[in-house]
Amino acid sequence: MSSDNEITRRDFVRTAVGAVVGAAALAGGAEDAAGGPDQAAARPGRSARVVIVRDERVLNDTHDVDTVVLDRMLADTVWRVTGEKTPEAAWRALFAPADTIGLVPTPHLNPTHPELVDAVRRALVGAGIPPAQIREAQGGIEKPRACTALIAMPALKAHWLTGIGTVLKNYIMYSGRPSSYHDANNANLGEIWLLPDVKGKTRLVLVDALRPLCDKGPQPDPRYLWDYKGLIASKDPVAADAVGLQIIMAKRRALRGEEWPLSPPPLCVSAADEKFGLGTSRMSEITLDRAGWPRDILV
Amino acid sequence: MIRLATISLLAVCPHSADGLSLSPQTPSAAAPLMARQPGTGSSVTLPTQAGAWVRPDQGRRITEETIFDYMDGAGELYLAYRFDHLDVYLYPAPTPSLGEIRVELYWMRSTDDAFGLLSVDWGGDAIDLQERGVIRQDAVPAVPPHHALYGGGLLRFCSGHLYGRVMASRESPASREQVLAIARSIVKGRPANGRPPAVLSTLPGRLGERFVLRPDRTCFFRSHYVLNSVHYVAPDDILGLNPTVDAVVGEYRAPQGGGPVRLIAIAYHTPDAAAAGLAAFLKSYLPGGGTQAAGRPVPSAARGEGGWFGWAAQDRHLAIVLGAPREEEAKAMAGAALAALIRQ
Repeated sequence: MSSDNEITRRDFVRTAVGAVVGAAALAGGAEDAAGGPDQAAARPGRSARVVIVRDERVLNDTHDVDTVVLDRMLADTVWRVTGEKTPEAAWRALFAPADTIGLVPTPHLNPTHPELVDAVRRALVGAGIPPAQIREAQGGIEKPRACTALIAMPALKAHWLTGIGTVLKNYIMYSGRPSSYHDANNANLGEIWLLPDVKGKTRLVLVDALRPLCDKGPQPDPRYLWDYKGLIASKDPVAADAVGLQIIMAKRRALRGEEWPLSPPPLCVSAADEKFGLGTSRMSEITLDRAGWPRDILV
Repeated sequence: MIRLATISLLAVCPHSADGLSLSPQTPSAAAPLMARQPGTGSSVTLPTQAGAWVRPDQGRRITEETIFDYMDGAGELYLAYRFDHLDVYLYPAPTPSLGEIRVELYWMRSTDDAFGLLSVDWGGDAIDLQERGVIRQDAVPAVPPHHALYGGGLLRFCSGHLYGRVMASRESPASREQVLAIARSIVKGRPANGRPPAVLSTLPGRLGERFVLRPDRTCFFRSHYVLNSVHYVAPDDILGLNPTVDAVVGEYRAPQGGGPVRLIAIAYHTPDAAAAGLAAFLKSYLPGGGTQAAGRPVPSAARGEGGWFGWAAQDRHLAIVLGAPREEEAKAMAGAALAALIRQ
């Protein structure tokens, strides 16, 4: 507690998920596990790179996807994530022809655009991955079990039961008990990434930020969808979620003209860092590589 | 103005009080068989066509057992109120570029539950579906006087025990017109909505000298899931909420600015439930001091995140104030809120 007679949401964080996360939250700045991105100071030797590629032309006025533009954005994104010289080389740096690659889009609430799934599939085939070795892997634990590599492909969204419902939540069905991660228990979403059939298989996190959802749902309300027209990618799932969280929080502030915390707090992001060691949640440790359309980038 | 001329055929959706599945009916069989709902005497009429959008079948019945198959990760909201069943109808357009219109009719066990679902979010443009105007004697200052809200292609409304969502996947002037036409067809002939849940009438318009209620942030709830989605209180259900509880959370602001003060007013089913709710709340908010605090004279207050929180309980009622700027204000606000709650 902050004083002898005072309790804060951060104390609830500590109560809910243990002292490690609570301590991290308490070390944070103005926003942290209580509802926003982790602004704590950088730790020595910790870093991550997150790429944001945007193109104003990828969606038209009725939100239809221009697949040519999307293909180009995807190539730019993967090239930037890996640092390879060409997109094909980038895909080959991430995956080998012998891999069985599971694509893991989100089917509910604000679903991943099928055009993005198709674009990834095309790019992988173009890089020499046999089509038969590319499969959709959303669902039960048998899906990742059958794969040697995964691409997490959630759409960017807030979620009424977990605060944020993007990268870390994307594997919730692998747990076989999704409702056990609701409310403050969203802090434990990171443990799913450590299941034996999942751990270490995610080579790329590719967030569909073409048209994110910034309020909680539970069903999509079009008033909270907006055309961001971006892809967010990283090899670090926690960093990708942290950046997405920053964008959602900024959009919520813009809509209301005041702080509008996510509720329940998206504890999963800090916890994935501090408790489960999946990556970094601290914005101070994340290098952002922004490309393309700069307007209202929000981060 | 409803444009019934655009609705070429009126088909009727028969459903029974015992949850039997919808019986098949061809569009030509337009005899007005009304949908009777448990204890409501209510009925709905759905057009088979709305502009370019045509409903090819009789829809789909969703129950408590199947709601998560229909909306994984969202069914909790409806079960957090008293849900009976859901009927879903799709209106595809012949041209895919027009998208589809989806009609979801949530039949709740009381008018309060239907109202509660609408109160989760008061955003959007107010729509007068029944075109009867605001019935003054049924309006309460704690909430906006609306029963239907539209924004971005989605219309949400409550009508008696019914909470409805009618959504166009692609918003356009034409789809907006048909979304409203379908909704007007649904509520046509249904009784006007009565007063909102009684507990809302107990919410003071002002707290203390400075803080004024924002009606568009008032939410009626029965579950910590809903409370937490509006304002996060605690990881667990520390207030002992359940379907027998009537509860409301209101947000108050000072015109001069500063952070909000929130009031949670709860009418439990029994005094024991209220006492248990307060004890659990204090145990969570005052670790180590909750037991002693529960024995303090009421109203009482303690320092918390963003200011002071106060509480007051009597009989089956509990009032909690969060974020008050000073201790004495927290006590006074909680006391005043409890007094209003008891007068209910």
